[in-house]
Amino acid sequence: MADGSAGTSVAKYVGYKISRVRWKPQPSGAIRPSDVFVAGSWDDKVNRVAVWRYDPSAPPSPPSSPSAPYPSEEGFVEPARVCEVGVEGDVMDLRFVDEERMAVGLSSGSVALLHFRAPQKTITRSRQWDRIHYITTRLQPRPVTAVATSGLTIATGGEDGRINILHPENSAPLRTIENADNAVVTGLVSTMKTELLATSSSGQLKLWDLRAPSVETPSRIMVISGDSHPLRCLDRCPNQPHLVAVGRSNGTVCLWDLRQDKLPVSILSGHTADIWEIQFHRHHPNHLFTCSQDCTLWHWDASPPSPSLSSSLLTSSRLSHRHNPPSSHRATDHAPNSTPWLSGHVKQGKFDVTYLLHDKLPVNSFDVESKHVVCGTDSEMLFLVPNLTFR
Amino acid sequence: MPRPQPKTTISCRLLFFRSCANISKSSEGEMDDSFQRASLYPTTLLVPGLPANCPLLASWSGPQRLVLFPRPTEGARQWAGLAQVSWDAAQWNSITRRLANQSHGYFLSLHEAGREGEGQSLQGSDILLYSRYFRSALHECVLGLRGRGSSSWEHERQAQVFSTMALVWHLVEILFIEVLPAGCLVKQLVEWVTWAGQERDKKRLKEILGHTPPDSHHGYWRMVYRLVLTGRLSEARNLLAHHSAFSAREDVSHNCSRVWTSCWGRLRWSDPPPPSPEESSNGWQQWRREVTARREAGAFLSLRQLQLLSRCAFVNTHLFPQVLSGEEEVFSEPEIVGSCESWYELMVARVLFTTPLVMSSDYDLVYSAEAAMKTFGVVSPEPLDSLLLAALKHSPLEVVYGAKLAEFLIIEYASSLLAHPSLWQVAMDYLSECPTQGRHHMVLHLERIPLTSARKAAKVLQLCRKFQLKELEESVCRVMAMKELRSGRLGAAFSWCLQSQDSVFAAFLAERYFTSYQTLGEFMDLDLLDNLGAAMLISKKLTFLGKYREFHQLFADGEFRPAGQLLVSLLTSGVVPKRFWLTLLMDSLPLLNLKDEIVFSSEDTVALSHCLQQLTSSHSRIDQSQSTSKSHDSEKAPPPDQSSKLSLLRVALCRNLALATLQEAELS
Repeated sequence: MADGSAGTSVAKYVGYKISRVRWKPQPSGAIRPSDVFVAGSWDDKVNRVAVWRYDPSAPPSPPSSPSAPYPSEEGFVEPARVCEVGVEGDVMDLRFVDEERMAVGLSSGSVALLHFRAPQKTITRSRQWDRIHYITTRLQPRPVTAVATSGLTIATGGEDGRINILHPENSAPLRTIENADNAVVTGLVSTMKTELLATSSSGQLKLWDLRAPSVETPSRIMVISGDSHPLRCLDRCPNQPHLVAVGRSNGTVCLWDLRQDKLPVSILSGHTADIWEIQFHRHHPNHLFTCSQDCTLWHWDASPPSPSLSSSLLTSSRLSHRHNPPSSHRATDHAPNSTPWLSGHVKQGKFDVTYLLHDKLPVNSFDVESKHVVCGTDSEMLFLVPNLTFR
Repeated sequence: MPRPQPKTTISCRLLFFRSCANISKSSEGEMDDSFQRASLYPTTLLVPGLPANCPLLASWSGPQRLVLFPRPTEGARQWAGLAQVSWDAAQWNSITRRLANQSHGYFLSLHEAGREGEGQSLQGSDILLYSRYFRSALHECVLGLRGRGSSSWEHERQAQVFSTMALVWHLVEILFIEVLPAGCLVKQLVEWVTWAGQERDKKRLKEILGHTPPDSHHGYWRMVYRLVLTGRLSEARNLLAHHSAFSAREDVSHNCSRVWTSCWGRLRWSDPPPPSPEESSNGWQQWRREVTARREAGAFLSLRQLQLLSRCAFVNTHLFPQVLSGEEEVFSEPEIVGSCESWYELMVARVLFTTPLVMSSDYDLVYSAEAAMKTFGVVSPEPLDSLLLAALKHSPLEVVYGAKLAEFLIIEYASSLLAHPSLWQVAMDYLSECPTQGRHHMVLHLERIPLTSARKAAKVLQLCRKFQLKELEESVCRVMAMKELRSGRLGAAFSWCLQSQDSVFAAFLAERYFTSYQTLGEFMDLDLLDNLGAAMLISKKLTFLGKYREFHQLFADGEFRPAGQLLVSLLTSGVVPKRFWLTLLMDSLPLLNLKDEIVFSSEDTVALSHCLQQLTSSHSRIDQSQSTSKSHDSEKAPPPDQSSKLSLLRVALCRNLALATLQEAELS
């Protein structure tokens, strides 16, 4: 259910459990936000990747009754399916490589490169790297777990502990880090084309420097001392690349400052089960989003408090709204070398958290584009939360 | 589970909507699909590749799977394979899955609302709200199944099942969930019977009105009756006004309408509900007197004449006044009976005109129902008829709400959900609400969910934690750990083991790590071992492994004294299995031979010597026993090169003891 920080959410029943949703990137220089997203399914007899169109700028819709478990569909702009393609195995992760092509990591150990052509409204497989994640031989493939892209370079991590570096034009992996992890690689983020951050099910965050001619060991290993809860996902702050947020299996969010020690700066608790995806807002990095096995999608707001606000309001800010008018005091928001996530305020728990969604089954994935969030759940629904507000 | 029965062919009696049989022969490893439509009658499946007349036995291998094998003595000669017969849960297609997910949401919301009430029973309004949500979901599902033009045979059958469900559910809602004051129940009953046929009636009415003249349409009078019988009076009046005879003489038509209006205007059976049953009853009586008086005054006479004029010979116009004044015989007139599509329509018409103030608990309802069934000629009631009658008799109140049956039904439903590979999460929530049998079923089903990926296993684990299925949590982690172990990935196995805090498995893995250290001379998965923290305490052996690793780090950092202390405490604490003692003792050698530092005190040296002594004496015991009987494990006896190691140690210990004693004497 939507709350005060966003418009009324729209639910679309699709008939399969959704493991990944991603907005299609807009060509550079485009002013309008993307209105096309893709959704991948898992755990079904035949899994698929479907392309959907959703244009929230269509006429405003009346608010749904607050008691309804799902917003009624009448009067709402529903996403419409454009096309879809079947894939072998569960869709484990999905990332766009450019405006048309996406890399899809599958539980069959293969990575598919899918090509969506908007004018023809078709989605086809343009390449597949078969069983590049495996144990000893390719007869024992292991699921791909994470996909990261940087330019045209694709990095994939798997349950076999490997990391493969792929390029759309090459049929074989450019490079393979054979024993990148002794457990399971759970999340990957690439930055600056040469660095790769990977989370592991053994609770480690590893930094890989791909400039070295042969990569055998990570350039850094970061841990939470004495705590081996698996890490599930990660994201890097868009304007402070040394800030990394990691979601863990016990529902906590860890914030690491890569410039500092190997221990996290702060551990924020909130969710009650595995965090499946975590994402900073690309344009408002003070805003963080998480979705979880505990059936919720959260919006974390660490925007520094405006001076006009009384401090008593702030102390009780967790899981509540600060009902303050939009403030013009955003001096630190885009300051070059500071982020509220590493400030004392966040450490003391002074940030806002709001539910964007509370479903009945786990929320597996979401993607934030401009003001709109799309998310996919195990209750076989797509949810669209339009018109988020950012202070 | 049913016992395997020897049969030459397997006849699968598939229930309800399980209709697709999908046969795969596992002995050849390739799928050979053949689809066969099954009904409620036994179906014979021919399993491809089986020799004819081979006597078979069968055993259940899953909720929708049978394994076939030949009878040991007779069949083995003809065929010595296994065949797996599995069938699909065809009831779960993309349209019905939506219903499953929606009703799951309502089910959970309702239970949550119940829990929030803390002991108070659920608010009737809550139940009613979700009951209506559920019915609208059912309706949506029926529309979905019938829509899109390409409605298959299977979809149509499902649509029928779901619309029947909606019909029964609606009646149950009216009778049990909604608490209606006198005079309101009948209105709801009318809505109930007309709801399903609304669209059809509208279409037919349009067709009749489109006919010129409308009254020449063969369904004209039937429609008039239907409208009157279901209380849709304004529509009935409107239709009558289109009668050619009426429209020819407007004044009469007007007059006729006025009579109708004034008659019906006196009857208040709609909103707002009458303030009290007495008042309502008075109103009803008054209306009845009015109609009788008008009939006697000949008000309907003109109507009859007009109809005679129109030569609608088959219509008994006198029926109307009779109906209106509640003379019961009229409900057995063929025209009236013929205008109803089911006995329950007739029943509601009867209730509407004879006992409109009926309450849901009144016997009048049952009486009307039985009479209507008799009139309608229902000799052998279908399941639906019995269900509706049972609901009217209020017997479901005892049955459905009896906890045991309710639980049985929920488990049955959950099992049908589990027949589909991806609805297990939905099914678990249902099972979790079954207090007596639920957990048992949850464990049985959860442990059979194929753990195809680590992420899926994590989802299963989370369910185990949510419902506190500790044993299953351990077993899931063990299954995943074993899978990794078989692939030689100790680290991955270890991370699974840590998740369930499985001490037995942790001990096993710790030994594997140590053994690999003994053979390789270096530790595997150092990043994992160095960051054990509190996890070290899961098992004694893991503690040993962690501490031993710590010793290595101290040694590498040149912290010899703390390293020595750690080594001694490890050896004396008893956490180290004896077969690892030699390795640890050998590790003390470089510390003993340090040139400028005495690491071990005399007390420590004595302790180390004691360990060494124990080790050599146990070895010699083994040697002795081996000389008498050679059945002992040869691994426990030291290899020849170990004796030189032992003597080296002995010398170093002696030297250290001397030095340490001297130093201690000097200090004191």
